[in-house]
Amino acid sequence: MKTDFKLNNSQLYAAIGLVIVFCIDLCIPLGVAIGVLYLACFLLVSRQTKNIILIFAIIGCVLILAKLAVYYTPDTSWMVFANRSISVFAVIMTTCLVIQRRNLFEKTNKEREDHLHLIEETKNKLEAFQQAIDTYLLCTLTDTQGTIIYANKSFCEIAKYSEDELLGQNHRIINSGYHPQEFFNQMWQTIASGNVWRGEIKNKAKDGTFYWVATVILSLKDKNGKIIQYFSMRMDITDKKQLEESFFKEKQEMECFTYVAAHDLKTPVVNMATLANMMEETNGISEEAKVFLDKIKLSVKQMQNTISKLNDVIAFKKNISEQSEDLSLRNELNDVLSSIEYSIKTANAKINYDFSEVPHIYFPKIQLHSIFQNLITNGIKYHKPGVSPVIDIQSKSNKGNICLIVKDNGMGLDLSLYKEKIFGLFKRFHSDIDGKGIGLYIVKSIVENNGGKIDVHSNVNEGTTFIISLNPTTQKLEL
Amino acid sequence: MNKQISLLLVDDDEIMNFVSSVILKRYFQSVEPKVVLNGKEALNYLESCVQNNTSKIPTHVLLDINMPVMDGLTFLQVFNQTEKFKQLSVKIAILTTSLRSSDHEAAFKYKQVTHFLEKPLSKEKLEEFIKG
Repeated sequence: MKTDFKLNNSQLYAAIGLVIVFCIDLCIPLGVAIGVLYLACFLLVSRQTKNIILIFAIIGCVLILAKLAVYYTPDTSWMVFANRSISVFAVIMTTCLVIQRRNLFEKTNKEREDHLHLIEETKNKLEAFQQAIDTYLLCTLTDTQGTIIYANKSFCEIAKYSEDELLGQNHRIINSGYHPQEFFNQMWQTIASGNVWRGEIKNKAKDGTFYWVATVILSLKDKNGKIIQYFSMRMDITDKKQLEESFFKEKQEMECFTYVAAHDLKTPVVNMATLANMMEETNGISEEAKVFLDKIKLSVKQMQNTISKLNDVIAFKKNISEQSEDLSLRNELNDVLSSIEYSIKTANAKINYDFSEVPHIYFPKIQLHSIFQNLITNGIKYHKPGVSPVIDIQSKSNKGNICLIVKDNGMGLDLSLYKEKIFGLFKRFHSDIDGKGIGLYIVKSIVENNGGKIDVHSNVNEGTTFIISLNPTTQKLEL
Repeated sequence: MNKQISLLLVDDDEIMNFVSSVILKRYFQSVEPKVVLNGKEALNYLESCVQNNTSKIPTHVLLDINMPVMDGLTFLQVFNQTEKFKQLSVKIAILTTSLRSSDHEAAFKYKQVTHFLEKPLSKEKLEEFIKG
């Protein structure tokens, strides 16, 4: 280790001090208590490191004793020894005091440095945050009246005002007039009571163009809890809104299109069917023409079938917003059974049910009917040739969920082939049976719309089991 | 059975009107139908009947719901609000392809509406309406 012997100023002065005191000591008689003068030198090195202080203490002591060693004679009095010892003791005491003070100083110094470091770090972090916020968010600070007292660069850019134009102005300067007054009343109510307000606002820029922002407004309070300012952060969502708008428009057009297709086609098709029937009843129609007529009737029938499918889907979409109510499963099932009594009788079907475990359900009525009706008619329609359909319906409680289980003894399906498709729209798996291919699609949509899940188990020739599980917490069960 | 029956057919679909007329001609020869194409025309016809006080004042109306100019539900509303039609005793059947329950409910709010028939018209449906 390389030791640096270069003295700094205070060390130098202290060293000179030592030399001067030593010289004085040499000039005066041995009995004078000169040691006290050495203490003055410690004033000069008190701010130096511990080692320096120690070195000066040792040199001081050596010099005090050196004089004694040089001038010692057998006649030297014991008082001289005592004198010198007291001086050495004083030097040692002073050294201890100085070092103690020195330690204390170092400790506070370190604490202060740590503090400064922490402040610096926090400041850097805050600056990074602000930079991130300023890059992505549009921020303003307003007083309690809504007067803008700060607006960041992004905010000015999107509003197309300069900072000077905005400061001191009321926030109304960017009001687009799109939202009703109650919208803003409600917003003010929320923030004035100290709550956080969130919402989407359409604003108007200086050049008259509109932009949408997702906004969060927080209130800033003084130490007494009184609101002094409001801080708002916004994100530009104009693109999202435009997308939403065009999506909504497209959806409406699509719905309109489906309605027109389903409804307006219905009348001419009905007419064709009736005219074909009437034609058949007229006299003098040739056998050959009759064949053509039959084909026309068949085509019309297919068309009617398609239109009826579309109408079912439309009707189902209309019912989707129906309110839930407390329903007795047995009563609702009986309603459904009486409405399809004819097909049950024709197929000689047997319907068993057991709702003892969960007798009630909180669900939209028409939609529950639709589930029962679709699953039961499905079971009847796809029965095994030569075997009367038997359908078992059960309600069960499973880990807090309500399960509806509908099991038939029909022909079943190879799920390894069809599992993904079974609930699709217009999917049919048995071409020889007159199905519409929308029943299971409707059941699945209803179940999922109500926060539930539907599962299916099936094997060819072993029937099919549908398990619908509904979560009573998402559907607010009230018993 | 066909005592003094005068029928007004209100439908914008002319082929449907043709079909309905054929059925009437075949099975209800004594019924003389009058065909109009929308609610507005129906109101005008009824008004002229009331003014001329003819014996042809309709006793039965077959009313479509979806029609241009004035639809069936608006017709029912205006018909019920008009003072001079209040003396008439008319039975109205809705004849439509729309099976929307909202239409169904709205139509049955009017006391004259006794039937809700799905198109096409048939001998049985008409019999039920006229007899029932």
